Amino acid sequence: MSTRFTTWLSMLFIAILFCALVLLNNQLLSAYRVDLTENKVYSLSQGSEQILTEIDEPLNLYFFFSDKAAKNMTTLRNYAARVQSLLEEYAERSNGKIKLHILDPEPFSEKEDKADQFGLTAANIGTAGEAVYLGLGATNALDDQQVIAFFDPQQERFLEYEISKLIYQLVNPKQVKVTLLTDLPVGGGQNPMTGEFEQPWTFYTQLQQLYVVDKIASDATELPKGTDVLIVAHPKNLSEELLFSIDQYVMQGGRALIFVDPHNESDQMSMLTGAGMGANSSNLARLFDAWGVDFDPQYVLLDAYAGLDVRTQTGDVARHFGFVGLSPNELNATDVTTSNLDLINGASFGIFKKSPRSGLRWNDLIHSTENSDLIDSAQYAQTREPLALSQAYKSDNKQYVLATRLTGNVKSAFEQPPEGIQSETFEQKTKDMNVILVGDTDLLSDRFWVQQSSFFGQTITTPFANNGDFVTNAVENLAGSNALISIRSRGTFARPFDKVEQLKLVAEQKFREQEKILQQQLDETESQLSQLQEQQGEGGALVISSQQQQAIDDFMEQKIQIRKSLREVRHQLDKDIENLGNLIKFVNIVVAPLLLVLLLMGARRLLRSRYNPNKAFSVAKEGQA
Amino acid sequence: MAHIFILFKREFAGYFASPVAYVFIGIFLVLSSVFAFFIGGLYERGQADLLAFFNFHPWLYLFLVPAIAMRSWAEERKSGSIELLMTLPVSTWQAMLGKFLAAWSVLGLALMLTFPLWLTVNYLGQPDNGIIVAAYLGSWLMAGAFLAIGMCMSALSKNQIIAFILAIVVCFVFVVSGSSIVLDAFKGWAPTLLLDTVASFSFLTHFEAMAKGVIALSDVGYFLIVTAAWLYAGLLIIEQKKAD
Repeated sequence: MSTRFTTWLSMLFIAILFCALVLLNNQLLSAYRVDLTENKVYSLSQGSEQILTEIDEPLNLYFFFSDKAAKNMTTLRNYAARVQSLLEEYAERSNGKIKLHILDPEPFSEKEDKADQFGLTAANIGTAGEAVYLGLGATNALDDQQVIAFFDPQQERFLEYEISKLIYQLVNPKQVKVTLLTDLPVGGGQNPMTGEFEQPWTFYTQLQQLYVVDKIASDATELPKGTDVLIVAHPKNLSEELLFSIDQYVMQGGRALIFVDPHNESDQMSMLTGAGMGANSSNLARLFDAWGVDFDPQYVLLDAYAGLDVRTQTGDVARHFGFVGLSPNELNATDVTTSNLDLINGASFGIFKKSPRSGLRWNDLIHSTENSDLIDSAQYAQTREPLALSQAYKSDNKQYVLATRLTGNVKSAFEQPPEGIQSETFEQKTKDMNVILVGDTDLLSDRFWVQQSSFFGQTITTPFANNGDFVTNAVENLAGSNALISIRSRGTFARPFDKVEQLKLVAEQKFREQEKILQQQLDETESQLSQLQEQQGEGGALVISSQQQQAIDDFMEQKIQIRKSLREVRHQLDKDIENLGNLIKFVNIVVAPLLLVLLLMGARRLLRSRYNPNKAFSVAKEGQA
Repeated sequence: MAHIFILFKREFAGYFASPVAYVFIGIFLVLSSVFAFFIGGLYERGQADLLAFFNFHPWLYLFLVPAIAMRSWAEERKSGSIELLMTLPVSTWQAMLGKFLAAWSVLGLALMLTFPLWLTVNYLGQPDNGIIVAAYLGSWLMAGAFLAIGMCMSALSKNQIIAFILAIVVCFVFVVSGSSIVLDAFKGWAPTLLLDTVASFSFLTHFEAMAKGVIALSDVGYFLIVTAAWLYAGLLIIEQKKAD
């Protein structure tokens, strides 16, 4: 009896000890971990650590999580725990510079008021639509504020970037100064063609709302001092002095976003002056040569797959191979500037190639689809009909780089300052080049991404593509420190089955031709059939000769046959992939288990002759004796 | 230590002397692949990872591990061989550890033999192999926890079927303790710390964290604590039965 009592007491003791140990384990050991993921998704990157070393004043981070309200939302709680552990890691590595406060903003509490002060809003989630806060408010010594309104689990890839950006902005609170160098009429004004007054371009208005923007034209001789981000749009005929100024700006670690174009078709003024002169192309060749960038303004990209539908002069809708809409498949999902975008529209893109002597790192942001081709830009400029472009098109089966980010070491395009320029700070090379190149300038103009409408006298702009987001993302990213820019999205990258993709490509190529032939046959049969039926109608005769009837029946039969073949072709497309799937399933479910179990049995037979289990037992018994 | 090793070898070989290990491994390999392909849609998802495979491990273990654990003590007690074992110069904890390590090794072997799936995703695409390694480790640790519970239940009853059912019930509670099924019972009255601790009892939470590719000491620690606690409880039960 007493043994039983002792046992139950011990059991109770184990249960209590178990709970205590689990609690301690959760509290104390969760910080120690090994990140086995390929991209170290769950560890602070060097960029973030660099930003932490730059903190020179105490920062207060207030992490708001509605702990109680989210009681049984396990997924959200797990994500909140992940955010909190990352914030704790920041605080731990900041040498005491970051004070982390963890707050549960319960309804009508002071903590909720604090969340309101930061402008955080609760998201209504859960089955009962509970108001849940999961955000971050932060202040520096001067009481500047930065917030992350809600940590969206969908954006886990950029979690570290978002937090590091917030810390960076608190440490460097001054407003970003953007210099826009362009001759394009981005500021609006009177249109020389129509005489009408036009609104400023939307991207320009957006930039002015977010940053201090200084717009200069190509007649300037140097860039304004204190430029944080330089945007160059459609550079043409830049003076030696201005080129030198851009070059030195980049050599001294300045960040630039450069839009060049083999043919700008949105600037009517340039088109007016350039009529009959061929393409209206940008020119920054001297700098590109030094950077090892091949940008040949003589070629314009045609993309059959990404081409946009446009209305032709005759009123029909046709696919324009030069007007390109780039979807997430063509945008870099791992770069913060392009990852969340759905569509970038542009026209007559130029392509970038890395020249062999370029020592820069290329991180491509936008590329074409594989159904692309290049066409002479002068020929493109003169072609008005989309149909003519599609006739000139012949696929290269190649993806072309349409926008890229360049970083790393590069030499200046100038061996010495040009004559007449005194430069005491002449830099011959840089280790910190940070430039984004985009092969189109038309994407900046409104017609490719916003729709304007009038609402009670107010002009409302509604974006239908993400061109403006791309520009602001790029500027915001470039305005950060190099450390911040170096933090890439890490984690949930798509890892497609390459083998299946290859099979798909081969199958599609193989059957596309066949489908085309069959489709042609079907079209012909259908037109012959309708001709025959029309004749019958015209004659007005109710009686058809047996030959006519036979011909109609034959055509109907043929039509059915061709349709059947077409369906089979479509079906065939997926068949190889399906076969591979079935084979893999069969191998894994039947063959491999059977083989492995048989192998085990064989191995056991082999071992049995060397080892007898009863022998071990008898050894133990001998030990007892 | 030498005794534990001898017992381990005897038990391990014992699994292969009868069809138990072959049947278990065969069923595990077939079921895990069937679940991964037909329910998890491993191929149709088109993603080179083994999520669809590992996601079902807790549910597979829920039935398969108690099946392998149920005989460990119940069989010995039923056939009377436990008395012989107790007369050997080995302590009960050595016997328990020897048995546990042998069964855990069988589970480890079964897991290792799922390598054709790993080869498959490597053939089809480029998976993050670090994540896969972490998930395998997590799965094996979780199997150990299931096993310890199963062995404790086996010590509790002479009847293997009862031991099997009891083990499933207890394991089920541990699997779902992070879900609303269990948490709702605590939600109204329990403080958040208790609720979080109960949620952290869940095998799923710890396994999923490891299957993401991060080996946190707390997750490893959790499975070791569960294993140790249930093995110790089993030990107490055996000692008590011995005294009876």
